[in-house]
Amino acid sequence: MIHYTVPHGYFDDLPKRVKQRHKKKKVRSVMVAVAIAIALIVSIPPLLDLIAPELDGRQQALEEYVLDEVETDLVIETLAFNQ
Amino acid sequence: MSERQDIEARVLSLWEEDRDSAFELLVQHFAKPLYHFIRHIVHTHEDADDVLQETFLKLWKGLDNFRKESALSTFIYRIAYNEAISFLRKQRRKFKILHPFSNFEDWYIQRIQADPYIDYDSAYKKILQEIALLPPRQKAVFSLRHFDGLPFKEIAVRLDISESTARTTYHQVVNKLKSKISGLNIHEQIASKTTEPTKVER
Repeated sequence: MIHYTVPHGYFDDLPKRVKQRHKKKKVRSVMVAVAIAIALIVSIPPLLDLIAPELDGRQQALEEYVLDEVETDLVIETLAFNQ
Repeated sequence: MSERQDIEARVLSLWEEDRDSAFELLVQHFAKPLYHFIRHIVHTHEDADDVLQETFLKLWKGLDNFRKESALSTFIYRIAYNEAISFLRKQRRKFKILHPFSNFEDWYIQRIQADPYIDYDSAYKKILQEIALLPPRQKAVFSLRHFDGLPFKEIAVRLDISESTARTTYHQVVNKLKSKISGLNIHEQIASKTTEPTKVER
């Protein structure tokens, strides 16, 4: 036969062990939350610094494009008016 | 009112007033049957202990959500069943990540055979392997029917499946095991529903 056996006294302190596990899990989740918060605080400013020049570049390119478009429109309108 | 119903009613009424006492009563009453139910799905004592504790933790957090539409024991067994399935899935996933080129089934069988809290005759080695490799639902149905002697109706409620599914699943398992162990001349015991669950304390 197959006998599944249990260590002696296993069931006696089970409620206590479940409560300890609950506490440990709570502590672990708080620690994980703190670690994530620290990681975000530490990593966000350098990340912003890293992407800021690129963002600036894009902004400048956009402005130039808009100016070009406006200029082109003005030239076309002027030509049309003169004709 | 049966003894089980009486205890369930006591747990639920006590839960409103004194959670710690209600929880202790719950653990005191359900720990052993739940442990054996889980053990028949996950097999090793270490894993059963893990799943049992997680089940009670879920109960501690989730007993407020119990809507009394079914018996408390049904609610508890369903949580235990889901926990056991989820545990086995995580275990398999973890193994695949850590050992991508190894066979999970071989490792799993070796692990069960190395558990100091399983005793079996050499003739039952094969049958233990076959039971261990059954899908979780089949293991659960087989365990509840074969070891706990529950009627199919109760098994269906506990596992949230239909009665006919429970019946079919059980017969599938019995036939599968019979065919696997036909040479071992012990298949009569598998077909028998009278075998009591073994609870040997060390």
